[in-house]
Amino acid sequence: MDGVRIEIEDLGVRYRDVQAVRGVSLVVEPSEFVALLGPSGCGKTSLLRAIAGFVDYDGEIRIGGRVVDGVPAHRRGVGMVFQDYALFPHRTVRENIGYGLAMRRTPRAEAVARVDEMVRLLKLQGLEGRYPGQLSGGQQQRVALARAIAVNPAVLLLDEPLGALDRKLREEMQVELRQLQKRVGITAVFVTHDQEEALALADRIAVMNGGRIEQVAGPVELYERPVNRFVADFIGRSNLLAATVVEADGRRAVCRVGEADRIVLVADGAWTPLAPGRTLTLAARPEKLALALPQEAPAGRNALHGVIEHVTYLGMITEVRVRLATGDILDVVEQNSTADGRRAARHVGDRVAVHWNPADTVVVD
Amino acid sequence: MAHRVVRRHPVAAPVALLVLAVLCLPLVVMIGASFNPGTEQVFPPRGLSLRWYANILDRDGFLRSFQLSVALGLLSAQVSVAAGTLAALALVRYRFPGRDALLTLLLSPLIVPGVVIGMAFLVSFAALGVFRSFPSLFVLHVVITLPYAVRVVVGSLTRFKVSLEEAARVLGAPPWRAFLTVTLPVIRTGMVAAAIFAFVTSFDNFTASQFLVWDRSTLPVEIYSYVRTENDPTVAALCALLVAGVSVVVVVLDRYVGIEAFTGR
Amino acid sequence: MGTAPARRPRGRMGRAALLAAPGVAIVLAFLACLAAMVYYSVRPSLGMARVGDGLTLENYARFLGDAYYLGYLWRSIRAAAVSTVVAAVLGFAVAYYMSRSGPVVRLVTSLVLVVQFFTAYVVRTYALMLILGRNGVVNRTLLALGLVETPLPLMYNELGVVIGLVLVSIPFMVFPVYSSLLAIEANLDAAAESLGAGPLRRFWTVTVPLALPGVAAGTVVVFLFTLTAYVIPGLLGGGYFDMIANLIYDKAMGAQDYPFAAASAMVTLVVTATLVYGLQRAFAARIRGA
Repeated sequence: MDGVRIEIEDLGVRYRDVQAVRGVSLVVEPSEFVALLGPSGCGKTSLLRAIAGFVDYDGEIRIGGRVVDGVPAHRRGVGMVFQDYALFPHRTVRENIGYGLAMRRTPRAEAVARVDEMVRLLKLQGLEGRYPGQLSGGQQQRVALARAIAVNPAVLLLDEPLGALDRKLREEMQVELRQLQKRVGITAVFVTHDQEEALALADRIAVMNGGRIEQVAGPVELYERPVNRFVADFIGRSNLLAATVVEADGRRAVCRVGEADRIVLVADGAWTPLAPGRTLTLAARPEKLALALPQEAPAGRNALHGVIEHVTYLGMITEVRVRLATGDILDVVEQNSTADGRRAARHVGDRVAVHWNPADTVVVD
Repeated sequence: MAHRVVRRHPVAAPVALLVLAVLCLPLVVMIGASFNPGTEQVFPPRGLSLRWYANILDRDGFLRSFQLSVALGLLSAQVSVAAGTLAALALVRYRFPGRDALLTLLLSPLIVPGVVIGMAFLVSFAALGVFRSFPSLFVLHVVITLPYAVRVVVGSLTRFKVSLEEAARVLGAPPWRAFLTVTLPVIRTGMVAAAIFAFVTSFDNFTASQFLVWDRSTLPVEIYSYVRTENDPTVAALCALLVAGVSVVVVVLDRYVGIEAFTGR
Repeated sequence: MGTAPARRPRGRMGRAALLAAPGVAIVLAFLACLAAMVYYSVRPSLGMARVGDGLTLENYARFLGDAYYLGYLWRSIRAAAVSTVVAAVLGFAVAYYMSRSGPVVRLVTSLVLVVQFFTAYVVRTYALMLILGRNGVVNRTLLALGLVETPLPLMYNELGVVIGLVLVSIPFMVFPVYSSLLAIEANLDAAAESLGAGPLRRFWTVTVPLALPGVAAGTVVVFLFTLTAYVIPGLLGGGYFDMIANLIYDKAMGAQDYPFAAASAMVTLVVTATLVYGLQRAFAARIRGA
C-alpha cells in the first residue's frame, strides 16, 4: 500500500467556549508515523478527532490531496483505533473485523478472504468466533487494529491505543505496532501522553501545549534540541539554569551563572550572536552531566561546583542531586556500568564538580 | 467558518418532543379546566374561579379517602422498605443455593396482573371471614410495594463498596455497628428512593385496591367513581392539586436524591 | 473483640434466612391468596358470593367455551399488542433523544417523565377524557380549524382506549430503554462511523441491538400492564370496549360470582404468563454478546 499525505492548515477546534486547538498546521508525509504528544487538555485528541471528522473545525484538512472539510466521518476513509478499543460487544471477532467491509457491501468471498488475512496479520487465529468480552486486553487491541485496517483506509488514527495495557504488554505492542505500520505502509497519526512511547514509535513527534504545536521533529532532534522550555521539560528531564551573556561571537558565547561561574555555549550550525547582557535559560540533560572531585574537572568542559544532596540507586542508573553554590539544583544521571567503583564515590555531603561538554548545552529561552 | 460534519439526530428530536408535548397536554388541560366557573369541564376555561377547589373540602369522600391513601402509603412503604432492605441484605451479602430463586420469589408480585392480585385477596379474605377493612388493604399494599423496595435496595447495596464497611471493622467497629454507622447512611439514598417508590405505588394503586374497598375507599377509587357519576370540575381541581403535589415531590427529590435514582443510572 | 470463630456455611445460611424471613413471609401470604383463588375457581358457584361443595371445572368450561368471554380476552390481547408496539416505538424515540442530549435536556425530560410516572393513572386517564371527548380539546380545535365537519369519535371505542393505553405506558417504556442506551459505550458509535457506517446503519447495527435488553424489559412491563388494564378501558371505553379486567371485576363485585371470576382471573394469569414468557424468549434469542 502506498501511504497518502495528510495536510492540515490553520486548524481551529472550539468546544462551547473553549478553544481546544488553535492555528495548527502540520503535514504528515506518506507512510509516516507521527505522534501527537502533550499533557491532558493540550488539544491532541481534538486534533485527531478533527482529522477523523467527529468534530467541527475551522481551517482545512486534505487527505491524499483531497479536501475533506464538510465530509462526515463515515465517508472520509480513515481508520481509527480508540483508547478503549470500542469493539462491538454483540459481534464476534470475525464480525467486528468485517464490519467495515459489510458497510461497503464487499462481496462475501472477498470479505471473508480479507478478514482471514487480517486475522493472520494480527495473529488472532483461533479467536474468530469469540466475543470481545471473552478476550484479553492485548487481544482486544489487536482486533481493534485489524478492524481498522481491514477496509484499507487512507490513513490510520490511533487515540492512546496502548494506554490500557500493562507495562510489559505495552512494550511488546509498541514493537508490533511499529512493525505493522511499516509493513502495511499506511500513514498513521497517534495520540499519546507518554513521551517514551512517542519516542519509541514515531518517525516524527508533534509536541502540543494549550492547543498549539510547540515543536515538530524526529525523536533525536526533539530530545537533543528542544526549542523551548516546555519541550525541554516535557520530553525527558532537563536541568535549567539562568545565565547572562558576557561575550559572544559567531561560534561561541560565554555566560555567567550565579556570581562567578562561567559556562560556554557552542554554536550548533548557524546562529545569530547573542548580545552581551542578555539573560538566557539554558538546559542540559542529566545523562550528559558527569561528576568529578572538585578540582579535577577536565579541561575544555563546563563545570559547576556543589554538594551532593541526594543519591537514588535505580538499578540501571544512579541519580545524583547536586546543590550548587548558587542554590540551583542539578540532577545528574550516571549509568552503573561497573558493579562497584562509582557507587562508592557518591555520598550525600560530598563536594563535587559537575561537568559536561559545552556542545550539550541548549538555549531554551 | 466552521465546517459542519457533526449532524444531530434529525428524526428522533421532533418525534420525542412531540410525544413529550402530547404527554403533558392532558395534564395542562385538566389543570386549566379546573378553574372553570361553571360546571362545564372545558379548556380553555371560560373564566377563572376557585370554587371547585373549595368544593373539594365539601366532599367528605375525597378528604376521607385521601387520609386513607396517605395512611396506607406511609405504612406499607415503611413495612416493605424494612422487609425489603433485610431481604436485600440476604441477597447481596450472602451466597447460598437458591439465591436466584429467592429473588424471583420476592419479585413475583410484579408479574401478576393487578386484577388477579385483587381477585385473589378478595376471595381469600372472604374465605377467612375477614371483611374489607384497613388491615386487608394494608396487606395488599405491602405485597404490591415489596418487590419495588427489594429491587431498589438490592441495586443500592450492590453498588455499595464493601471495603468501606471492612475499613470500619478494621478500625474497631463490630459488624452491626459498622453496618449502622457506615453502610446504612450510604445506602440511605437508595432506601429513600425505595420508600418513595413504594409510597407512590401504593397511593396510585387502583385495579387491585378496588376489590377491597368498602364504605371507605382509596383516593384513586374515589376519583374514578366521581368521574363516572358526577360531571363537574371538582375532580379536575383535586387532580390538579395531586399533580402539583407530585411535581413538588419530584423536584425536591431531585435536589436531595437525584432523579437518576428513578430513571436508572 | 477477639477473633470470631470461623463461621460454618450453615451459620451464614441461617443468618441469611433470618434476614429474608419477613420478605418471604409476605410473599408466601400472597401465594397463599393465589392458591385460595385457584381453589375458588374449581368450586361451583351459588351466586351472592357463596360457593357450593365439591370440585368442578364448570367455571373454566363456561369461560373457555363461550365466544363472548373469549372475546374479552382476545380484545385485550389485541389492544395490548397494538399499544405495546406503538408505545415501544414512541418510547424508544424519547429515550434515544434523551440519551443523545445534554444534561439540561436530560434533566427536564426526566422530571417531566417522572411526574407522569408518579401521577396515578386514574388522573392521567381522566385528563385524557377532557382531550378526546366530543367536546374535548382535540375535536374543538379540529372543528375550529375547519379540518373536520363533525367531531371525531375518539372516545368510547377501541381507538380511544388504545390511545389511552399508549400514552399512559410511554413512561414505563422510556426508563429501561434510556438506561440501556446510556450503558452503550460512548465510542462504539464513533467506531462504527469511522468504519463507514452512515447514521441509519449505525442505528440499526449498533444502537438498537445494544439497547435490546432495555427494550425487552420495557415491552414486557407495558404488555402486562395494557393487557390487564382496568381504568383506561373503563373511562375511555365507556362500556363499549371492556377488557378482561373489567369482566373479572364485574363478575366478582357486580354479579358476586366469585368462582367464575376466579376462573377468569386464572385463565388471564396463565395467558399473560405464557405470552410474557414467549416475549422474553423472543428477545433473549436476539440479544447477543457474551
